Amino acid sequence: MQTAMKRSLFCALSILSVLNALPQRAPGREPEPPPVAVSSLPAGSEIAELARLKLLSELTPRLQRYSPVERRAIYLAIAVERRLLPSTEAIDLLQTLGSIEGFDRAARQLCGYGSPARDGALFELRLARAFVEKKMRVSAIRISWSNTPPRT
Amino acid sequence: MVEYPAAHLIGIECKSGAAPTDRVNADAVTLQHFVAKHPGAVAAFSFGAKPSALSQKLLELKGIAILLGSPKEQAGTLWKIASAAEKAKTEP
Repeated sequence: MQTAMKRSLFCALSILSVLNALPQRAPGREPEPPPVAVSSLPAGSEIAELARLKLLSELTPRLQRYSPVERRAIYLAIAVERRLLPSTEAIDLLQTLGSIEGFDRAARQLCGYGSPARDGALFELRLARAFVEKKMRVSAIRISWSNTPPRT
Repeated sequence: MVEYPAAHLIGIECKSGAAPTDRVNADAVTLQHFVAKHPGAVAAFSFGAKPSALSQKLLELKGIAILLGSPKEQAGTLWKIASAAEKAKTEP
């Protein structure tokens, strides 16, 4: 079952194509893979099954074996499956904000079933998207102000 | 966190709802600490729903910009605030 799930998700993700642009990266973080042009999200019975898990504490361990890029796409696919946002918007968010620091946290919080953090994460992602459209550079999403080190 | 114009940080605290005033005040204080650590940085508070008059007054007193309306409207407001601040800095 798990092998079939992984295979099908990899098939869905294999259509991602790599762009030449350099990734945005905060100092001290692990290098991120280059931004990807995403044309679809993972779909199918596996995503439907994951979308039925209500607690993040149940969902998160199931996704540990995937890479950060794959996890982002899966989290968004789950949010789409739950009708939290349309798939076109999810793909657009992944394309435009996927490489920004904190996106992974926001994508994960989107899958918190009925959690206030879920609405906050979606609102913040939509706001960040609007800033990008206005040509303003978003350097981080969903960060804690108290832990932000001074930048030079 | 937004960087606009380049190298000018804008810390934005987002609330998808109106949020209770004590919560707004606590987050505004944390945001002020962030601004204090970053010379030249400015702060803004984004609301998904209209905040109470007291929350607005508190933010005004702390010099924190308030963003209201749809994400597009808020981006437009922030762009105007950042552009005006930049213009004021560069004008003799």
